[in-house]
Amino acid sequence: MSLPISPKKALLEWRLYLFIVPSLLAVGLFSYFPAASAIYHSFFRWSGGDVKEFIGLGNFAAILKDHVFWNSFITIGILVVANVFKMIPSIFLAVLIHRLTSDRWQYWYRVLVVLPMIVPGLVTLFIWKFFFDPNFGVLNQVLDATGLKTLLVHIDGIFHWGIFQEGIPIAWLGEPSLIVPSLIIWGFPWIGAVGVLIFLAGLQSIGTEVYEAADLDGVTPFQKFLHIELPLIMTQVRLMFVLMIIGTLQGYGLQFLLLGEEGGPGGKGMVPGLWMFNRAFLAGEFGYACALGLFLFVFILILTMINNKYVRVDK
Amino acid sequence: MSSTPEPNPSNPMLCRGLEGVICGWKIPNAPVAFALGLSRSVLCGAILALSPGGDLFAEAGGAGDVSPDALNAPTGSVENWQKATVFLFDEANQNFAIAAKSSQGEEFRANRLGEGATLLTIQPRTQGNIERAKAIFEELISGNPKDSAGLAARLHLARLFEFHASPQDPQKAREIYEGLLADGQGDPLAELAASRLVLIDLHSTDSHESLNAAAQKLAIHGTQLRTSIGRREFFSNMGLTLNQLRGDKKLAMEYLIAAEAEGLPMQQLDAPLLVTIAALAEELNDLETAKKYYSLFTSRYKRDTRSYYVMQKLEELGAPDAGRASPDSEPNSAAPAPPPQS
Amino acid sequence: MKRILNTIGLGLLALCFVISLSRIVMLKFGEQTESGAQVIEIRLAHWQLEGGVRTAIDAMAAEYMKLHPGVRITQIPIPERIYRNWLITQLVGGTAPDIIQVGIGITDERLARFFVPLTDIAQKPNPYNQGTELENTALRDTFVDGMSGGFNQNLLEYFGVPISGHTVRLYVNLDLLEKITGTRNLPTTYDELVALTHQVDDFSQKQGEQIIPIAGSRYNSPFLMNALFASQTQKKMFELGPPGTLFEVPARTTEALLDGEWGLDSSEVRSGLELMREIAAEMQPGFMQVTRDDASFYFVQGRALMIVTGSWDATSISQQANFRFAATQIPLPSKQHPRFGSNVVGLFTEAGGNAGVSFGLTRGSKHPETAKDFLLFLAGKQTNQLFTNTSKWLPSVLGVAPDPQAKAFMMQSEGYNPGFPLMHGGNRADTNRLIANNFHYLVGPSGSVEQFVGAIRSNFVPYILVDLKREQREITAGIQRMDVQLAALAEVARNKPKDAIAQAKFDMIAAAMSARDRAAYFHKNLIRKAEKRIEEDSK
Repeated sequence: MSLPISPKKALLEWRLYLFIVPSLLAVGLFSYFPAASAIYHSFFRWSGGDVKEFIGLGNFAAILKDHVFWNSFITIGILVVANVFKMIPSIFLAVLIHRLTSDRWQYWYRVLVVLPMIVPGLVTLFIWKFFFDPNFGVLNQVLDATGLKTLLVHIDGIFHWGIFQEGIPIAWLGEPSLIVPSLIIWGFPWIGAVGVLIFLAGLQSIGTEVYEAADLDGVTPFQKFLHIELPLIMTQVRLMFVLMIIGTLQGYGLQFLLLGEEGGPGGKGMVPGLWMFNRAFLAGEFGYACALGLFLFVFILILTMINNKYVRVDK
Repeated sequence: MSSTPEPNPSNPMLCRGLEGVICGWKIPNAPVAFALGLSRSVLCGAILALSPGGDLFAEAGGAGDVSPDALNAPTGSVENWQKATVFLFDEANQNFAIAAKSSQGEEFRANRLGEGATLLTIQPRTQGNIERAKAIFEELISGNPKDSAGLAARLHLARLFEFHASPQDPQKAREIYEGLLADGQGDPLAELAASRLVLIDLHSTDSHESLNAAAQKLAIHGTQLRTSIGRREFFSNMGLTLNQLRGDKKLAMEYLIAAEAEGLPMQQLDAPLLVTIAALAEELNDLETAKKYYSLFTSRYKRDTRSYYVMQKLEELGAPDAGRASPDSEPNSAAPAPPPQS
Repeated sequence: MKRILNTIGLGLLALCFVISLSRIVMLKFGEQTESGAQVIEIRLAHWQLEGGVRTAIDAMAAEYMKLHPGVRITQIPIPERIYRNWLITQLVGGTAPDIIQVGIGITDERLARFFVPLTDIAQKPNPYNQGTELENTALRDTFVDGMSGGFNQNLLEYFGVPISGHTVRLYVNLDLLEKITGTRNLPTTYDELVALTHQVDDFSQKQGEQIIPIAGSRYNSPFLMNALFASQTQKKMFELGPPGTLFEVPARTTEALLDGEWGLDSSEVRSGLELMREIAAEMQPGFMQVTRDDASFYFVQGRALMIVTGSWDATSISQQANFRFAATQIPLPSKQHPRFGSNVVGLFTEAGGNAGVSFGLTRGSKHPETAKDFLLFLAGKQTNQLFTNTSKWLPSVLGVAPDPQAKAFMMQSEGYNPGFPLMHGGNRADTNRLIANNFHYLVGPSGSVEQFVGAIRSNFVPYILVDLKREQREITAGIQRMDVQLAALAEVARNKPKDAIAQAKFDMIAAAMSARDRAAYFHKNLIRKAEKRIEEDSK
C-alpha cells in the first residue's frame, strides 16, 4: 500500500501529472466515450442514422418483454457452466508444468503453451469452422474413421433422437440439438494459454516448505493438488472465473461466425451479445441494442460484485 | 364522374415533347428518344416548369384567391431553406433562429417559419422541440393566418398533429386542412391539404358504402383546386386509395386518369399508375381505355419489368402495335449461353 | 561494442525518419510533369475486390493518364468488410479520396454533406462520347438504367456514375459435367436440373468420390431457393392486383395474407416449399452453416458440379478454377410442368435492373474538375467497353458490347415479374428470423414441409405484426423528415420562380410525399388487420 502524502506535496510536482493526460484522453475517447454514447442512445428510438427520438425508458420496458433475450440466457447459462469445466484442463496443465523438476523443460512447456497465442483468434475460429464442416470437416472424418459415428447412430436408434443417421454426414451447426454441444466442444482440449500462465504464476508462489511438509506427511500427488495447490491458487481461479463469466456473457463472435446473426437453426446459439448485434444490424434498432448492452453491463457488474463479495478465498 | 374537373393535358404533353429537346439535345422529339432506349426524364418536372404555366408558384398568381403578398413575401434566407432541402436541418435551424432575432415584419415571420419547420426534424427528436414548433406555428397563425407564412404554418401544424405528435391526432389535422383549403386556394403548398384530407377521410370508413359516400363528399375539392400540383395529388390519392380499399372501381379509374393527365413527375409513380388504370379499365370491360394506357406504358417504359406482360396484354386486346410477345414455354428452353471461358 | 551498436540503431532510426519525411514531402508537394507542372493525383476508392475489376480500373486509369499526362489516378481497393468504417473515418476526417464507390455506409445525410451532386453533368452530353451515337445524348440517358442506379430518391439528385450491372446465374463445371454425363449439355428445365443432380449422386456412389451436385451456402442457396419459391407464387402475385399490380409490393402481399387470400396452407406456398425442399436435398448436408467463400471453394476445387451466384463472381471463378465452366439461367419449372406448372405465369424478367458499381465525387476533392472529368471518362462508351472487356463484368452504357464471357450474364428482358418470396427483404427482420431459425425443418434430412409450416405457424402473423410496427415507425420517420424537406423546397421554389430545377424538385417531392402518406395509412390498416387476425387466431 502506498504511503499517504499531503495534498501540498502531491501538487508540488504537478507537471508530472501531465504525463498521464495522453493516456487519460485515449482511455476517455476510446473506452468511456463509446460507453457513454451507448448509455445516451439507450434512451432513444434510434436506427443508427441521424434520426433519433427520445423515448425515455421505452427500450428498457421492451427488454422486459423480450423473450428472445431472456431465452438467450439459458444458452449462456449452459455455456458458463461448460466453461467452468473447460477451465479444469488449464489448471491441470499448469500443475503438471509446475511439478516438472527441470527448469529447462518447464521453460519449453511454457513456450509451447504460449505459442498458439500467436495465431490470431479469427484464424482459430475459421479452423474450427472447418472442423465442423459436415462434408469435408475433420470432426466427421475422425468419427467415421474411428467408428464412433456408427456408435452414435446406434445410440440414436435407441433414444430416437433423429440426429445421427447412417450415410448422412452430421451437420454440427445445422441441427438445433447439436448447436450447444458444438459450442461446448469448440476449443478442445480447452487449454487456454493465459489461464495456464496465470495458474502457473499462482503455483510458483507456493513455498517449497509446504511441499516438504506434505512429503513428510506422506501426502499423495493428488492430495497435494487438492489440499495444497488448488486452495492456494484460488485467487487466480476466481480471477479467471470472473473473466470467463464476463467474456462468455459479452462474447458473440464465436456464435456469429459459426451460426450467423440469427443464432443458427432454432435460434439455439442465440446469446445476449448476438441478440444485441441482431437488433442493431438486422432490425436497425440501434437504440434498443444500446439498452440491451447497458442491461448486460449492469448484469455483469452485479455478478462480479456478488462474486467479489461472496466467493471468498480463505488463505 | 361529374365532379372531376376537366384534366389539363397541356403541361404533361409539353413536358414529354420538350423532354426530347432538352434532355436529348439534338433528338427531335420524345418518341425518337424512346426509340433509342432512353428512359423518361426523372426531372420531367423541370421541363414542366419551363413550359407556359409550368411555374408551380407563378401559376397560383393567376388564381386570384391568394394575395400577391403571400406569393412574393420574403421567406427567410433561401440559403437556409436550401440547407434544409438536403437534410442539413440542424444548421438551417440555427441560422433561422439567429436570423429571426435580428429581423422584423415579414422577414421575421419567414425566419420563424423556418425555425419552426426545422425544429420538427432537429435530432434527437424530443417532445420539447415538437411543442416549441407548435408554439411557433400558432404564433404565426395568430399573427396572420392568410399570408404565405401563415398558410405554410397552418399546413405544418396540421402535419404536426397528423405525423409528428405523439399520439397522432388526424382529426385535429383534418380541421386545419379544411380551413386551409378555404383560405389557401391557389397556393400549391396549401392546396396539398386536399390530398391529405382524402387519406384521413377514406381511411376512417369501415364499409364499402361509407367509403364511396366519403369519396363523393370529397369530390367537391377536385373542382376547387387551382394548382396542377394540388389537383394531381388530390386525384392520385382519391384514385389509388379508392382502389386500395376496394371502393368504386369506375370512380377510382376516373380519378387516376385525371391524375395522369396532370402529369406525374416520377417514373416510379407514373408507371404503376398507367398499369393500374389499364388493369381497372380491363376489369370494367372498357377495352379502349385499357389499350390506351397499356400502350402509353409501353411507349414510356420499354425497359420496365412489366413491359413484356403489358405487350402481351396489348396483343390480347388486339392493339395494332402490340409488339412482340411470345407465349411462355420452357423458361430457359433457349439454347444455353456459350461457355464463357476456358 | 555497445556504443557502436547503439550508434547503428540510432542511424537506422534516423534513416527511416528521413525516408518517411521525404515521402510525405513528395506527396505533399506533388510530383511534377516533364513540363514542370504539378502532377494532379486523383484517388479512387472502391470495395470490388473480385477478380478483374482492379485490373479493369487500372486499364481505364492508364487510358485516362495517356490522354491527360498531368494526372495520376490512384486506385484504393478496400475490403467490403471494413469499407463502411473506413469510409466514415475518411469522410469525417477530411481525408477521403476524390472519387468513392457509393453504396456501403452511405446515408442520405452523408451524401448531402460529403458528396457533390452530379445532376448538372447528368443532364449534359458526355464529351467522352464524341464520335459515338451517344455524343448528343444526356449522360444519364447513356446508361442502360437511365442512371437510376446513381440517383438518390430522397435528395433528388444524381450522386453516382455507374459502370457495371449484374445478374444471377447457375454455374456448371463443364469438365465434370462431361465426366458424369458424357455430354456438355446444360440443364435447361427444372426436371433436367433435378435429373442431373441425381446423376451426380449416382456417380458419387459408383466412383466413391464425393461430388456435391449444387454447392450451397447461407449466401448462395437463397438465390436458387427463393427463385423456385417465387415461381410458385407468381400467378398468385398477378392475381393480387392493386397496389401491387403486375409486380410484387410487400405491403399488398402482407395485406393479402392477413385477408386470407393466401397463407401457409395455400397450394402455391406448399408447392413452393416442396420445391425448396427438393432442391435443398441436392445441396451438401448442412449447407446453411456454410459461407459464400466455402461454397465457392467447393466449386472451384471441383468438389461441386454447380453453384448459383452472381455475375460478379464469374471472373474470380475463372481465375481460380482449372476447368471450363458455363453459366446459364436458373432452370425453373415452366407453365407446362406437370407438378409445378399450374402456379407459373412464365420465365422471370431481368429488365429494369439498375446499373451498379457507382462512383461519387467527394466535396473534399482538391481537384474536383479533374475528378469530375475522370468520372465522365469512366462513363464514356469506349471506356465502358474497355471495362467490360477487361473485367468481364456487364456493361452499364448503352451500345457497349459485353465481353463474350459476360454474354451469358446479359439481362433477360423478356418475361414476367417473379412472385412474392418467403422471406421479404427490407426490414422484415423478425419474420425472417422466424423462418431462418426453423429452416432446418424444411431443408434438413429428417424434416418436412409439414414440420416447417407447423413450426412457424403460431408465430407467423405475430412476427409479421412486429415487423409491420417497425416499418410503420420508419415510414413515419421518413415522412417527418420529408415534411420539412417539402416545406423547404416549397420556399426555395417560391423564391426562385425561374429556377426550373427548384420547381421540379418541389413537384417531385410533393408527389413522393403523397406516396409516403398513402403507405403510412396503408400500414396502419395492415397493423389493425394483423392485430385482428391474432385476436381471431387466439380464440
